[in-house]
Amino acid sequence: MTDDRPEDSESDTDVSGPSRSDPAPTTTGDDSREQMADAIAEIRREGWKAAITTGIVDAAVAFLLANLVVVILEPGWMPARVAVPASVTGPLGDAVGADLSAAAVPGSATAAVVVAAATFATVVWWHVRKPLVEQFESVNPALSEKLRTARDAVEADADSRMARRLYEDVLADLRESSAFALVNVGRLGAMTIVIVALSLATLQVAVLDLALLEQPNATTDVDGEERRQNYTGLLDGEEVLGDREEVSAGEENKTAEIESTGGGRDVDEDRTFPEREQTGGSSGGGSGVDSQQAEFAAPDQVEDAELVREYNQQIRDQDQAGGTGGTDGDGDSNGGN
Amino acid sequence: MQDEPDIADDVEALQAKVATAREEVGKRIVGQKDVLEQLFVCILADGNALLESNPGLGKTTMVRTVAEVTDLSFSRVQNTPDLMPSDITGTEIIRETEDSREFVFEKGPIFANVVLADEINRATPKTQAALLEAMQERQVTAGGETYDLPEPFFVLATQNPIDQGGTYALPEAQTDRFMLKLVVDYPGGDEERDIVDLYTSGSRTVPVERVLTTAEIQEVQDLVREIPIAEDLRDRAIELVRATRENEAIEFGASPRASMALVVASKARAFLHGRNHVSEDDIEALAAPVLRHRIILDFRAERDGQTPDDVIETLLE
Repeated sequence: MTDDRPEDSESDTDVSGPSRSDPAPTTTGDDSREQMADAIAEIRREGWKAAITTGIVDAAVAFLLANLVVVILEPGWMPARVAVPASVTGPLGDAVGADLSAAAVPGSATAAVVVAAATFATVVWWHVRKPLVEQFESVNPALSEKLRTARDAVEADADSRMARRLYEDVLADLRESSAFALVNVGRLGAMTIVIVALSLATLQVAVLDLALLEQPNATTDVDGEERRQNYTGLLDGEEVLGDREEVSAGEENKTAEIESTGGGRDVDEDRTFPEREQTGGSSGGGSGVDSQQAEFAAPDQVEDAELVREYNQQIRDQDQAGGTGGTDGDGDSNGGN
Repeated sequence: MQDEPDIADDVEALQAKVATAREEVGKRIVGQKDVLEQLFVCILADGNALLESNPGLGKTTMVRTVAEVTDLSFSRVQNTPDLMPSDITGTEIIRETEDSREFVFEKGPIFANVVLADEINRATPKTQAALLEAMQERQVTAGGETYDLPEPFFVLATQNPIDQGGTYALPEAQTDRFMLKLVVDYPGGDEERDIVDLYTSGSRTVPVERVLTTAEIQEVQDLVREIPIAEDLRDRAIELVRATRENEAIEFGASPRASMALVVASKARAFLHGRNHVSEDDIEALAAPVLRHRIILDFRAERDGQTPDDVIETLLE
């Protein structure tokens, strides 16, 4: 049998008992049945090995994937580090001669280990749920039906002439068979590539410290807020009014009539105010009202606004100190000049 | 195995002899390979066969040739409505000796290894029952004495599906005693040409060799029963038979005797094919011959034109 072979010799596993180079043994009925029983046990071992191999690879993929997802998402409920139970650290610490009571593993790794363990158990169960002897038959068509018949005959302790003949026939065919096909090599290769890719991705994420769901720090700028509340000067127009937006121009035209009190004459014609010729600065009479574009200073021009406001205040104070002028009928201010 | 006979050589030699016997029968029977195989299955499984076909298809020739290629004794019973049970089983006669008279049992034609019961459905039910009882019990009782039938013992009965006037259809309880029902169909065009050429030129009879002894046949019958069968295949055979009791198209299904017949016949077919184990192909190939005479179709299925073979085919799917 292949018990003395290295575990990785699956590719040419011989489950048939004596090797092909051995001389044909002289067997009795009991011998052939025993050999058949040993061969079937070996087939089952090969089936378990194939299932465990696949389970380990899939569990590795699940571990890396789960770890990567947890590191990227960084869910709030996941503790950053999980303390290792004392039942583990105690004996381990005693073994290595160190105090491991404070040992802890990252939360992401803990979650990944749980996912990997579940994946391993599921994959192994999935592979061994069908009888291993029949799985072996399916990858070795030459043994189809006869291997399971031999299995049932061995379990029934059959030792008839035809049963012995069947055992010898099956043992001979097993020498030409292999358990290698129990492992899906293509899938295994693909999984290996996935493992490499996930490993690289894990390294990349660790270097960049990427956290998609990481919450921003909730530290508030108290001083800045107080300063903003105490400020009484000009404010940023965009901040006060909000974002600029396009508005549609009005389409409705209205005619307005204003009775004049200064001219002493009747209004006999429609006029549009303000009259263009009277709004100019050179009108002399100063009866017109110049329209000006109102605007707010931008935050970076606060100093200028302060200066303008200060000048305006000084001018206003000088005007009050220099005597109060009347207001004529046009509403113009008669200053000291 | 130095002290024991070489099993492998023994079995292979017997398998070769059975194959040769089939070839010998094939010299006389052109085509009909499936029927011939099933007939050998029946013999190796130690069962009885019911052959059904129209007249002139070589049923009698086939059975007679099977007896000739072996050293089995052969007898033929042509069933008619006036045939009495004692005509088959035998009867006690008074034999006079020098000083007295004594009753002596005169064995009937049933005391042979191979009994061909031609047109069994033409015999009265009483005669049919006597024949089939002997077939089942492997013994005959007359005048308070029991006489064992020779071993091996086969009854190969034929019946004609047409011209049913004056016939007595076999009751289901009696058809159940036949392991297989073989349907001999018309040969193909090429085969019919070969048959005509074979029997209309040269010798009137085609010679065959005797290749199997009675002891060898009994040895093969023992080996057949020793062939292992996987549990899932055995269960498949049983489930197939059980399904006949639940199918809507079947009014009466097959009995557990059918399950036993299907398994042992599958073993015999495996032996014929040189295998040491039963295959699913064996079960599927023999399902119809084992079951077709053991089920009674529902009248709705019959109205729809279904045959037992059609229903069995659906069960196999």
